[in-house]
Amino acid sequence: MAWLSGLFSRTTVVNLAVVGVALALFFLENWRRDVALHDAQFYSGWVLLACMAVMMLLTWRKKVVILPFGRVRLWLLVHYYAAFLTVAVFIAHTKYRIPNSPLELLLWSVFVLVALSGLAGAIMTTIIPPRLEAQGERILFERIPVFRAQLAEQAEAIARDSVTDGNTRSIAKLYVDRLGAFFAGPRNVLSHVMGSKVPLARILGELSAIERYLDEAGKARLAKMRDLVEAKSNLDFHYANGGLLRLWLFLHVPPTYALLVATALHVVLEYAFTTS
Amino acid sequence: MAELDSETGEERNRRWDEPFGDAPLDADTVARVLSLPIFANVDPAEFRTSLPLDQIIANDGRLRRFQRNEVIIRKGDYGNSLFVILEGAVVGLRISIDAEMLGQAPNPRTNWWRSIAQLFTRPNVPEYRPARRRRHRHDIQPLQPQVPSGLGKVEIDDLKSRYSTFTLEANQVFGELAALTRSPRTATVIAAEDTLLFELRWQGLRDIRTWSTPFRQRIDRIYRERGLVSRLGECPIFHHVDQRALDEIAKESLFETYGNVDWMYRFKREIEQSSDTSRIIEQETVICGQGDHVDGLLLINRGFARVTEHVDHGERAVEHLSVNDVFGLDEIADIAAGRTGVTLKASLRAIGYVDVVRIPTKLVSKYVLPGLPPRFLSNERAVQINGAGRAEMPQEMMDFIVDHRFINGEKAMVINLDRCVGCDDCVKACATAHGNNPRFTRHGFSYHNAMVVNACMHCTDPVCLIGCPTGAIHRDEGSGTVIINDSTCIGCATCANSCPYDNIKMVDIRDKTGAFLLDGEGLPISRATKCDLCVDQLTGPACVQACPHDALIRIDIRDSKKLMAWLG
Repeated sequence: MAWLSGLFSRTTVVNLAVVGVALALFFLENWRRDVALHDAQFYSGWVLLACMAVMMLLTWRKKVVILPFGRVRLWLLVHYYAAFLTVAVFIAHTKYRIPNSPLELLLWSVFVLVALSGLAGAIMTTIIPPRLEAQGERILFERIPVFRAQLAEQAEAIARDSVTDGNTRSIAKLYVDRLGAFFAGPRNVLSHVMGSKVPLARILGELSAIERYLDEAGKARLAKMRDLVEAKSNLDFHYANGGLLRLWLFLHVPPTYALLVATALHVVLEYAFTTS
Repeated sequence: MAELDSETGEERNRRWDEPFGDAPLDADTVARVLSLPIFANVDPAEFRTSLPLDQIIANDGRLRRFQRNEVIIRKGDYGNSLFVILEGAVVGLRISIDAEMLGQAPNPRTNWWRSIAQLFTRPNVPEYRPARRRRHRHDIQPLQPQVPSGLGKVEIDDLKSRYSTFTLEANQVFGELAALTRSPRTATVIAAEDTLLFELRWQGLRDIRTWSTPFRQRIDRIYRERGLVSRLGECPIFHHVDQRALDEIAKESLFETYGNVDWMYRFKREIEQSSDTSRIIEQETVICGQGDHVDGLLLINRGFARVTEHVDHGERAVEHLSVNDVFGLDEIADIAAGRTGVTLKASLRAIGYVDVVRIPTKLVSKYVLPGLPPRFLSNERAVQINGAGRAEMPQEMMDFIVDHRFINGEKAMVINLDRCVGCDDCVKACATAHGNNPRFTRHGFSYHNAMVVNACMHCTDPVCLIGCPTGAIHRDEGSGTVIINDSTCIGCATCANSCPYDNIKMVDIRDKTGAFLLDGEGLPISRATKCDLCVDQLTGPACVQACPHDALIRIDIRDSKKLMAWLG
């Protein structure tokens, strides 16, 4: 057990133990009903529904945040542990196989989507915030388009000035060919999610390549452009990772409601057409 | 249309819409109050015509009657008023009396039904304010107030036998210390017999003090005499010193002030101009320099100070001091031990504005050092810090907190960026608790994974209170939470401009259709808004309740031990 306490806190171990005991009791009762030739499917189905209801309490708690029912943090923990239980009960309920009827397959698929997106969300909410923090100043996700527009405006001004004031065309050409599109919107989202710096290095390389054609004033403009490119890349990093923190919710919350509807339909159909 | 205008025009609050008492004092009572010695030589002609003395007394004052054994004020409560004894006598003691001793249950500000109703009746319109039922004419308050109004009863003879007490009689004043310094009461005062008091709320006190020189001199003298003894009594390094010695120290000590009372305006300008705060230290007045002759022990009486050491061509902050912290004790101990050539090990600088008490070296050697517990002395440290919540902090973090003046925050909102996912559940919860109007922005200055959010920090020294004409922004008596009374806020924005951290927002209020409420001149009516720490909610701060990732905390920034542990 020492290895377990090394991996997890004491509270986590206790919580996992409670979940384990609950699961053991469930499987014991499920087995008892099975060998007694009772319909264990109804039992596991209702337990599954109860587990899902417990998980839905998190949403309800968030809505009544000014009532003293404990911190949302605790309810999220309940949500997590109930999720372990729910998945196990679901596996038992589906008899460890993929269903073959269309409606049940749909229900199964939506459940899996909700479970996987929830798991991904739990992992991402742990991993991504430190990544964002390590990148520098935290940027409000909603403000990113505004900052991006400001950077694009400044970049265009530098490119324009390089022609009108500097009488050079290297920066302007690079801007038209490459940088204009770079500043126009979110770029290299996947690379930023993967933590790759290659796209940034590529653009900085292209900027360095034209440095030899520029005079001192042009080099100063190029340095400013380099700063803007780095700032834009930083913005894209925040957009990509901050976006992930929002995207998983879209794959988790709406399918949850779809799952509830499909579950209700499933219950009605089971009771309407059951043969036992 | 004219009718509408007059109706909406009524929505703009005025200074004395809500007098301190149930109604303004009558002319006879005002005359009686003004005949008290504390108001001697106060000339009504010195006051502005818009702020006449008799109206200040009538509206900012009230009469309160207490029966024997009733507690008038409690040590530790935040006081916003001064008392003058009209009849009877009071007894004071320097201990706190809790609600249990008074036989009181905590007084809940809200209940379940109100909270549930609040969930279902949230307005769709931002900053909606229901039409007011304004009283157009106040009944004049008679000389005798109707009901006793104490905090509860105690057995005064019992307390007298157990604790050291002092007695104040008719015409004497108390409560000035807390009212003037926006700090907690330093003593508990109990009615020794049936007592009639005149209570003056702090904005009245401020205005009379501003316009009348004799009153100001009188009040300031009382403040100095009593404040010094109180301060010495509270400071841990004087706990072993007897009262006679304390009186002698108080007599010989000097009150000194450093910095600028309007420091927040310059500070805001500097912060707005550049995020580089390294030069902020240059604006701080040097109280005493490293290597200087040791000229007494410095006790911080009010405000904050920064201790710095020379490093190459700059100054390194080693500590920040607040009320009851002292500077120079180790050096005086060295002198007392017979060492020669002792000079100050570090410099002391005023952060904004600071009151210090300079205690002569010879008195410290004579009364304080003998019997002083060794933990107060450290040859390694230049300063003696009061309070258990201090822990070593990385230099950059220390600079960040002091340069941005966050040390003022007693309930600062700090977000751990390592855990925050930006879900804004905190903002949504704040909106739920405040009629769909969030009272903070999830944004602020950050250092590594700590972001100090733009939310009211409920400062130790809330400078936002100083200029409020009506006292709408005030400290809650029990908790010390800084709150705004929406029904007396006149929308002048003085508090918002004074807040060094831009944590008070002015909003234009609306009616239920969403239209802006306009005054008689067609101008929108504004109100000051800010975080009130959900003082009227069952849960406490909703933002803390709502955070699913334990990424948000309300914390006293000076409790570095807790802060560092929480940040990880």
